[in-house]
Amino acid sequence: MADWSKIEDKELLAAFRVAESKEQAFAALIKRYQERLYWHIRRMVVHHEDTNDILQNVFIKVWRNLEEFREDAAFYTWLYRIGTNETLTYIEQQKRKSTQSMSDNEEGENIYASKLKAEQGYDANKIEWKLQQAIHTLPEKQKLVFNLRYYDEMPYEKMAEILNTSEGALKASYHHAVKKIENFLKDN
Amino acid sequence: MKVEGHIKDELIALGGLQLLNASRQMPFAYPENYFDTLDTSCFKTDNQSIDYVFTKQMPFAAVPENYFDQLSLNILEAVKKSNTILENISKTMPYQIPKAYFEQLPAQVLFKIKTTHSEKRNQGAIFRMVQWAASIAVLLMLSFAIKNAPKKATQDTNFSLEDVSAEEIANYVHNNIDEFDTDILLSSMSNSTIKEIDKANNLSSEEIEAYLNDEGWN
Repeated sequence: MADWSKIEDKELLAAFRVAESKEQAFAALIKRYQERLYWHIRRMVVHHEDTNDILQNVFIKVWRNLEEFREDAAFYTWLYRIGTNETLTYIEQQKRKSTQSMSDNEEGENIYASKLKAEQGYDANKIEWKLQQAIHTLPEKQKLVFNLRYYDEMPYEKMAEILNTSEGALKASYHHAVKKIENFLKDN
Repeated sequence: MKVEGHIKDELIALGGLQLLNASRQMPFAYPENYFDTLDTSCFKTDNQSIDYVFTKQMPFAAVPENYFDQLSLNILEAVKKSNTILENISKTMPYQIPKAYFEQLPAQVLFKIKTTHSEKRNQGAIFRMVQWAASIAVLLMLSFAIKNAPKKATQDTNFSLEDVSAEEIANYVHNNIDEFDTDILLSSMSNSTIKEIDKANNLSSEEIEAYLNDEGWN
């Protein structure tokens, strides 16, 4: 029996196109990327339930479109791009919903502050949580850039492919994000 | 001031031997102490009768002792300090994940993929079944109208299909159900349509109910 965890992406994609090995190949791809993608999403949306919904939708979309996937781009990049788009769309929908249900004085509040407080083990005095608060003061795209660079240590070149932005703009964005986070942590 | 060095060599090469012994001192005269006072006089203007000496010395208090010696060290320390805020924070996320979440995820995704596929197929079958049910209803209505039209027409010349209520149609079908030969109805349908109806017949009442609810028919 083949050890699917040791098979390269390209071979797994080929196995996906064969009816008999389709599911096993797909399960192997999920296993390979689930944690990275999970954290990529969760760092943006905070709650596990929201993350799980988005993550499952991402993999369902991948299943539906994988046969048409052109292998001139890396599977990993393509997966991250779908994950990022799904996450941003979800955040937009959530924001629209919460703006509709919020009263005027609540409107300006950061929706993430309450999300973070609701998390299990939240402790406002712990630096890890303060860092999350700081990150969630950033605009969504800057937050994405910061997370990809700081946590995933992704090269700017890769980030440019995923976010469809120039490397220069990403560097500037990261630089601004770091400054804002540093200032937040100093002030709080 | 005699010519020396490479300038002398150059003059010899050029044949300027007389110039070698000449003094290079300028013969022109200039005011006494002119160069001693030149710097201050540059800042004198015509309408400034009082002479003042401009010095570049800053009027501020003296710089602390050893300030510049320690400056580079202080800067490096400050840079270190500002970096350490982020550097000292663990990159481990503080969030919790349900137990065995990642072990179960692939199976969950595959299950969802399969169920959404079969749900879609079932929804398609139900939709086609409802379409056929509607077609059969129209067929029944027409046959009802054709059968009753001449009789009705004698009674009511303004008869139209709109005048027949659903209740009347249902009663008619109930009372004359034997006249609706399923074989005749089926013979007018294509093979693929019959297959669709067979599929639809195998649907559970829950599936039909769910479909009707989704479509807002219930």
